[in-house]
Amino acid sequence: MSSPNKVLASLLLASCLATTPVFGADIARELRVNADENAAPDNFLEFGLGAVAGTGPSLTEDEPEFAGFTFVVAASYNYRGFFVDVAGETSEPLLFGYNAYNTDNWSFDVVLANTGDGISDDTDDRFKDIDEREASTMFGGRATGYLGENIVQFSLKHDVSGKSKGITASALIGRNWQYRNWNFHGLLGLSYANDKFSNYYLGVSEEESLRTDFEAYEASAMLNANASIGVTYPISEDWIFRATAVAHTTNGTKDNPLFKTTRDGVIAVGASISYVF
Amino acid sequence: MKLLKYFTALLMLIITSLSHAQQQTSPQMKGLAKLSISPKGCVALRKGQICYQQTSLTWEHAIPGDYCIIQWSNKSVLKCWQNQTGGQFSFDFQSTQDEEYVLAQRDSQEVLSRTRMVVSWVFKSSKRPKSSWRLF
Repeated sequence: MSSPNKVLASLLLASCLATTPVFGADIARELRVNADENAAPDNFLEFGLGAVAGTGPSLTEDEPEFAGFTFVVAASYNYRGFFVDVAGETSEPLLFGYNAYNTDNWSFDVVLANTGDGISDDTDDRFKDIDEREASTMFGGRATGYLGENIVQFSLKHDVSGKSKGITASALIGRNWQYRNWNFHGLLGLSYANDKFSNYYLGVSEEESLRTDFEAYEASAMLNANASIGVTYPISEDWIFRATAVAHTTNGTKDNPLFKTTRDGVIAVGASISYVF
Repeated sequence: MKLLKYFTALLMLIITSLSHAQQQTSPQMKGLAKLSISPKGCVALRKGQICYQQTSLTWEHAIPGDYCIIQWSNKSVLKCWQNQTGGQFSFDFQSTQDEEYVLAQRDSQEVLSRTRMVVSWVFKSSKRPKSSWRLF
């Protein structure tokens, strides 16, 4: 097993790059807190410490296994329909939105999300002369439906920053269960990134190929499946415990020269304790 | 003479009754009773969820007697004891809100001591507006 922190960081980065945003903080959040369909989003700020272990592709390490400790940060603020989410669970680190329309069972949001930076020379020495993949600003819509015991969410976003000019989409279905004070949830999803989005972050141009050790590579559109199960337990009014197991495919990384270790998917388990302000 | 005997007996009965009533409602009687709950609180993840807590109610009284523990919100008797000075009752607390429990005398139902299970939560969700377009 490789050294924890660097491996963890690189693998999480790889994971984020290889899949489009799927575990939207809002639906995961609603499932975690066992919110009913009438509940408006909470304002919250959480800091915590967690441990995570798993296996998956890596941009920087020879071995697919990883384990380590990580800080947990998540926040959300909602005011008159506007909201900003800074969520540790999502691959979009920063998301602004406006809750535009609600019916009895559906909620529609307009969202603007920052994907976070991609590969750069800071990622690893291997990427010394590579072009920096900057963050995309994704603008689009998100519909969340409350269908019986299930929550479904569909999102469609387009990069308006001009960095990738890509399109991402996702479809999620999840539900939760309460057993005494333990709140369980399960989430299944599909995520899609078109070829422009994939190629900007995971492609290697002919020009880059000439000045680096990487072969030219054209990334195609990616469709990935995701699944997660988790549990949240209130230790006190201010402290919560979480444990999660996630798995998702990493199509489009298998033959990618940027990855030092390739795998068909990521499987990871994690647990954390967070303070809720 | 016979009338005086009846009057005296009646007077004694009234005095005894008054004395008994005084004893039942006296603050000293209440001060002799103590009802406590453990743990004192139950934490749910979200407001409105049922909070579950294995709970124990313990009571004691200086004077042996017949006492009952009552859940105050619905006035249901959880358990009664006969000619005892103390007791314990364990149960599975399940509620979305605070619940008050009282120790009362069995016959008179007079409340001698109170305690409360406080339900709190981590996240407080307000209601989502429905069927509406927002226009800022």
